[in-house]
Amino acid sequence: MITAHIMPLTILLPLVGAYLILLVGSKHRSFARNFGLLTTGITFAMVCYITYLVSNQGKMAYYLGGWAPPLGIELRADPITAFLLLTFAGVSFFVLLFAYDILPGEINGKVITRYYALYLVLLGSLLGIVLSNDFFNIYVFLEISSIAAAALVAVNGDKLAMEASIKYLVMSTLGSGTVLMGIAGLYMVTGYLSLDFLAGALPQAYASHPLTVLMTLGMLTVGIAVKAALFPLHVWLPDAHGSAPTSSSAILSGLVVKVYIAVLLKLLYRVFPLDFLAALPLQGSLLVMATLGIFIGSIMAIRQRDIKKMLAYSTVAQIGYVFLGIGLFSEKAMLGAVYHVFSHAVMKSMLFLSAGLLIKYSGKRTIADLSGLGRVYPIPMIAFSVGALSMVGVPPLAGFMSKWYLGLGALEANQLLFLLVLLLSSLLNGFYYMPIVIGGFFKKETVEIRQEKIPLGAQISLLVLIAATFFFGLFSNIPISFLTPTVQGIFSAFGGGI
Amino acid sequence: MSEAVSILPLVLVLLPTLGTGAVVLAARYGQHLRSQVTNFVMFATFVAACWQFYIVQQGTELVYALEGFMEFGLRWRVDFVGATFSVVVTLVWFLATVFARDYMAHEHHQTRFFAFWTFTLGGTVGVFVAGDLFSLFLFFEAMTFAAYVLVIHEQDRESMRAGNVYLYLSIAGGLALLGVIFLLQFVVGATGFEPALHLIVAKGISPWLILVMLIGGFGVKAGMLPLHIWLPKAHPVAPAPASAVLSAIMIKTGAYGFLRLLYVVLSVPDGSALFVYQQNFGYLFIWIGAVTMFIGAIMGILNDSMKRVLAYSSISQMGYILFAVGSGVLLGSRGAFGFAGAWMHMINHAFFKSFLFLLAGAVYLHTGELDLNKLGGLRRQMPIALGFFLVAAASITGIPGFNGYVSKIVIHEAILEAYHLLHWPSLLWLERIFVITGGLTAAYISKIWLKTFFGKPKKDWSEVRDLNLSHRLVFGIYVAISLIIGLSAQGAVDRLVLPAANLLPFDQGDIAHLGHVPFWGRAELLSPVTSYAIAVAVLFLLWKFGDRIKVPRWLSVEYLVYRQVYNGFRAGILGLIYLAETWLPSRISSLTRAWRRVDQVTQETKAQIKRWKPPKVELISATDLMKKLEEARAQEREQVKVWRVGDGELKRRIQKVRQEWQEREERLEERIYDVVEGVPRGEAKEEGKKSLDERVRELADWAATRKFNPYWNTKNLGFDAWIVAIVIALILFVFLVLR
Repeated sequence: MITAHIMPLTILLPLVGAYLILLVGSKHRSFARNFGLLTTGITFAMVCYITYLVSNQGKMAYYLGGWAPPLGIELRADPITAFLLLTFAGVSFFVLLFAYDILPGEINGKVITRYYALYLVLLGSLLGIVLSNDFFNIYVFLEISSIAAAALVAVNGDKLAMEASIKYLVMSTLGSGTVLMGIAGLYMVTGYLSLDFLAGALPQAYASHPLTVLMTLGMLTVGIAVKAALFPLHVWLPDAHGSAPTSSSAILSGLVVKVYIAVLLKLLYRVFPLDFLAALPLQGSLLVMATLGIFIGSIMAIRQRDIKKMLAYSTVAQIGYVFLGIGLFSEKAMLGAVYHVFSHAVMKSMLFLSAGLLIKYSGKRTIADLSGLGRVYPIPMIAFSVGALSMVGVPPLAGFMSKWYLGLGALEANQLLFLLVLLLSSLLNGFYYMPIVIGGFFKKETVEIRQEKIPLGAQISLLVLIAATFFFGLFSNIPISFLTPTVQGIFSAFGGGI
Repeated sequence: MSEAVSILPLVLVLLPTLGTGAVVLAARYGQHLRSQVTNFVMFATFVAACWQFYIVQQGTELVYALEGFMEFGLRWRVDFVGATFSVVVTLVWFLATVFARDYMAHEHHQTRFFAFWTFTLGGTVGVFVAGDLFSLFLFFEAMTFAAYVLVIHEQDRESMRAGNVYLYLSIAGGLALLGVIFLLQFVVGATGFEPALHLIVAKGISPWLILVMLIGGFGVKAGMLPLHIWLPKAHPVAPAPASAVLSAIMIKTGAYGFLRLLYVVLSVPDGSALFVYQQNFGYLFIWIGAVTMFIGAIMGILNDSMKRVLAYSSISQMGYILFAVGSGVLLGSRGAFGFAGAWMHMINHAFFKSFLFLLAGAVYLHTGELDLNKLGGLRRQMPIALGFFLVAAASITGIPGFNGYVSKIVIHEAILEAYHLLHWPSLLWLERIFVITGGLTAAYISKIWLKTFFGKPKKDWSEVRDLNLSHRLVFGIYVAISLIIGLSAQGAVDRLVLPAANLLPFDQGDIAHLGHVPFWGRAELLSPVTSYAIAVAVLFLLWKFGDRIKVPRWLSVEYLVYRQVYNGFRAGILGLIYLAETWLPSRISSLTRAWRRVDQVTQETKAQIKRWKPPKVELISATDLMKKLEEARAQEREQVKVWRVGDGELKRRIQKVRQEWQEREERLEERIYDVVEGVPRGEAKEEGKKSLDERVRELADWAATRKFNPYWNTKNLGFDAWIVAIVIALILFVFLVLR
């Protein structure tokens, strides 16, 4: 029974868990922490099971209530989806494990229960977005996720966070509005919301209403670009990710931004046929925006003094890599993009978590004041260094592998220029990450460092993330061979490259 | 050439890498155990390397692969070149370790130093036994990052800055090398050392792009001009044993990479249409080598710190190697001499440069001084050190009987051979540069030992003692190596060079010729005389005019190239930031900004009008005035009878009233202007200024409490502007699509 209904259960579990937390947690403080962690852990286990099933069966579909599409809503898992699910559930579990003892010191004790509830709602909606094969369902989960995410930013209630959160909320509502208009347009011309049926009906609709289809494609792309913080629509990101509590920053920068990319992937590769896209100037505009995002994000990151702001701008740059991979329209680049979604999720959450610890123990957010922490707190500093080196693309870390595929993809698409973009921007990454690593290990302290014991949960979660960064760099063939057939499927229909 | 799968290369890499852990563990049980463990690891690695050399020199190539490591597999392939240089690497490292024990005894962070010291050996030796470019790159990066810790060991300001230059240039170099790997992987599908130039051209990728990336990748490590700037900074600040291996071994990884890539991967058979590429590469490298060796030697002469002189000397000697590499590549299959010269000089330089750096370390250890102007007269206190120094100096300047002589003769033969085959006049000039640089080398080396051991003592050296036993042993081994290679010159070439040259498709006649290099001919034996004659002249000039020679700052590479590049880059970035932060938002939001401005002006005007009080003047309307005038006229008319008032008087009075009216009206107008413009004039000036100040202060306070930057930038851009931006993006998209 569980095997048959595993997909809706995976989405429902965190959502139900959130309500339970609100119900029980208002009386019992520690309930929220334990139950939240437990729920996320079970979700993670279920996602692992889904991945296992997908790796055996290749594809899984579930009709909600037994209603087949186009009437009913379909949930669908294929290797790419399963991989993203695994990323989302895994990283959010370890972020929550990290937060177990850290969070109470960081936010107001009264809102902890609510925080956990929101976190679970966010996780449920993320999984829902990835699993849904129905546009309206995706939209509903998009809205849930953006509201929950904005609330996670504002949870502390200080002025800065409030301002950032409102900005975030308005921008992402704008984005969802645009997406909704796009969905409405598609529904108007085809009469379907299910992705498969949409794909089937699209050629005919394009023949009769070319303008509307193009307009909807534009709406959807721009809307998603706002939410995924593609340059130049990234303005909300540095504030929101920079001023949120540690665990929120980690999950926002690592996961929430990525889920919209998952939507874009579905849209581009399940709905719109690739040769149709290739005929549009979409590729050019995506590549230009991505490249500008990579460079401007990196340069802005170099200019930052605040470590969290720096990491946030770095996210803008890394999102550029993902869009670059998608926009290159080649098999290897696509693999690279999906792999970078994963590796960046691991690295960036690790960076934000370790930065959170460093900020906690030094009491300062400025980069110059984080000197000498590596000697007192080796684990967070090593985690930061591993993340930083992985960002620069030092082998054998996970970040190297995604760059490797992106670079090969750029060559495959005959776009030598983007290989150079990739290499040059890696150097820029080095310029803003290495000073922190050097300062942390080899410079004298500038501020008084608090001597405390790092909570066990935080240690374990950082160590697991470090291990993951190494493991998925050294043994990247495991996920890559899992993903390759699906990606090849997308491109074989397309006729093997441009 | 047979192949054999053997675990030996893997062991060679793993011994020091895992040995790092052993060193750290042993450090918990005291310094003594740690240094013993370190020595043991080094010695074991050396033994493994010797064993490997023994197997390989019998004509087998050792291969090993860890399939599935990062998808490509990690591959080892040890041929004669790799096996020989592994022995050199491990031997120099072992000797430096023995030396380091005493040298580092009074240093801080010893465990860290020895841990990274051991780990760096793992990376370095890995570079020479790697089976493809990707594996080489992995070891190369491991070595780079581990060596950073050796460079900044002192952790003072100078070494941190040197470390930064080293690190960022190395990262850039690593990425350039990664670019080469990307291209090779794309073109060939593997990164092994196989000829690939024809494939690269067939794919439509310019070989020059690969060459530029290659120079970026290996050139940084090899200290090639103008990428050398990290070297004279980083090598002197590291502790002496670290400087020795950095200068003697680590920069060879760059030369080794050029050897593999230029002689194998980017090579084509003679007579192929693509041979012109290879020839151009070779010619370029000869010039790069010539410039590097010459400038390096000049800078060596002009510097006054012993280790800096030696660092510049390393640059200069790397110039020799690149020069030889180039002259070999230029000739294609006839380039056996160039290859032989480069290869032989790599080995020789590894020995004599580490010898010199360790000697400098020994001098520093006993005197605490490295500045040549503060040393002097040490020959009484350190006669043995002087003896060793003279051997090293003889070796580097190419005195017959010492090892440097062998490779210098071969390189000289190589450039002459190139001239004889091609008859390009420029090659003759290059040969002259080579000879002159030999003279400059003799000059800077003589300067070191003259200023250190001779002359008047600048300080009281009575406490200084000579080298201790273990150092004497280490230096004794160096002397033995130098003499063995130097005295049996032809034997060394036969044993070390010919098997290596046989790996490449060189002309058999040339290889046979290599078996009979005229080492003991008259002209060759007299070459040091030329060198020392030049050296005497240079030293004389330096002694006479040395004080006046100051290299102007603007002549340095930093100033001429990097500063300009940096400035350009910075200007570009600032421009981009300006565009992204100021210009773009201001364009996008100009509409909303205009509305805001209108709104603001309206608000201010309203407020000021409300505050405005009418000036205290009596307003007289025109009708009143006319009435008054009428009255006056009537009165006058009436008064005519009483007392006649002249016409003139009346006119005067009318004039007066009019004037008064005009004045009042002007003042009124002025006041209105004040209010509307917001710019106070006349009497209202002081008052207005105050209120303006207050307003600015209020705004600042408000901004501070809100933590809100009153200027526009992307971070605080209003939503309205971004709605406009989204709409524009949509419109643009649609227009682009629909065209």
